[in-house]
Amino acid sequence: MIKKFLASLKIGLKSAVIYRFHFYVGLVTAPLTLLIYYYLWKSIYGFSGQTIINGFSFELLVSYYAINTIVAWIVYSEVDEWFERNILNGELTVDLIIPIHLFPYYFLIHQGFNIFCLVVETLPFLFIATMVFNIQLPGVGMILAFIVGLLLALLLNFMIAYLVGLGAFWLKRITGMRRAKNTIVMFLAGGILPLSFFPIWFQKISEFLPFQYIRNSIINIWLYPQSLVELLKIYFMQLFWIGIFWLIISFVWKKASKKFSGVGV
Amino acid sequence: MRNYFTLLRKSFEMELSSELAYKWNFIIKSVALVLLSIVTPLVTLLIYSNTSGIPGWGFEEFILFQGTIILVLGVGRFCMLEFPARVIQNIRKGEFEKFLTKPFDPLLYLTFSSVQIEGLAEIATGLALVAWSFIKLNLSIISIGFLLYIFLIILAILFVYSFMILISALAFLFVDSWALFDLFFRFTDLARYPTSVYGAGVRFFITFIFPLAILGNYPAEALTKGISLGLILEIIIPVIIFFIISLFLWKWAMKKYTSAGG
Repeated sequence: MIKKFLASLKIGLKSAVIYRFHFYVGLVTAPLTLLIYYYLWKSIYGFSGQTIINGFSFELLVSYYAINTIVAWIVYSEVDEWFERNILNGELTVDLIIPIHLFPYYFLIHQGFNIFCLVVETLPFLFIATMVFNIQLPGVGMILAFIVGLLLALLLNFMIAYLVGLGAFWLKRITGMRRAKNTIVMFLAGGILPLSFFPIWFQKISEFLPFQYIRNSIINIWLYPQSLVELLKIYFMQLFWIGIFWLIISFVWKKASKKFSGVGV
Repeated sequence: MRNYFTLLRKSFEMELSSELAYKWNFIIKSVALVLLSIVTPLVTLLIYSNTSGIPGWGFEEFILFQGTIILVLGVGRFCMLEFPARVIQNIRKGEFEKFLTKPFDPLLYLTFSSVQIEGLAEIATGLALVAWSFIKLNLSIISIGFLLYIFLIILAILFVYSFMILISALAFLFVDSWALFDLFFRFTDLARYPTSVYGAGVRFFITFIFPLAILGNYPAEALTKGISLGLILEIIIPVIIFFIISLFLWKWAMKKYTSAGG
């Protein structure tokens, strides 16, 4: 089984090498995006005359956007797009006869991409952000806590994308669903603005939704020292939603696999 | 020219029927695009409700600014974005010569036969935001400012078109030209906030070197604050130069094209 898992991981890694130019572009554009946020918030803080806005100093908010970029890269998943493409061109048939379930197969291919992304994009970007924007590194304990939260967030986001991807078994084209999912997740996870900028009533509701545990809560582990109780609460909510999505995916997968008829099969 | 407009109409009809073949996807996609466009003003609302906002731009003015960008990029998506995508795909397959054998100019043929219907959702959202801020700011459409606004929007669309020509031309030189799309969208992020938030260097870059500020900043500024004739000229010239360079590169790339089997 380990051999099969490693082979899947290798496929992802090889594919990432083929599309390496995209990663290089990301490394150029990510600091640019951070620069935009830097200037935007610098002018807002200057104009408002406030040093702290919703718990964020200017420096901390820039750090939020820097860590947000890293988290977004790592949790990013386009498995929904793979489903759509493979169902439309009939290639899913090939993936289905591979002696490993589609979920771990696609997940591990993704991790192959992630490993490449980590080396080519994430670590160089972290270096640039630390040097240019003076991003502070947390203590070793918090880095470990951050990594645990990040891995669970990665699985959670993958499951949401996987579930949306299963929609292609019925709709064939799911570009709309994918875009809607991407927008909702990015906005509600705190990908554009930290959730502390949202109204209090929304923040309360958000605690029970899966989205903030994909980005906002994870970024906060990096930025603020968290107590053990706070960390356990984040992990518990992540595991809870992973469990919920696991049940839904298992149910939908049973229906979907019966529905599938490959092109040309 | 009439032939080109017939081409545009036919492409629109074909795109519509192709989209409607996946009816549910089309509906969800339209909703998603409106949703995506709404997120931008929603973020603005959150920023303005937590802070004093962006210097020099009141809430309604900034919504006008954002509505203008959404409108311009919506027009870009509707009738321009598909054009470089087709160039890239056909070059990769070695099938680009099919455009050279048609009784049309290849650039015009590709322009008028490439429609992405989903752009209409963005255009609608942009127009709605612009209309809302027009009412709130009590602006008149019978004014020099409005005429300037329309003129600068046309100029902004010309800039987007120039960029699409540039990507298409570069597709003849680079294999992985999809990444250029990423670059374009990332760079347009620079235009999503007023030039006043940036330092002098960035401001100079997005006004004169790579005139992204034309996408929203200058049209909105012309309408709400008014701009001098001198500044208008300073804005027009870089866009025209950019357009000429793109056309020149396109012509040059066409001469260099030898096809996959050539």
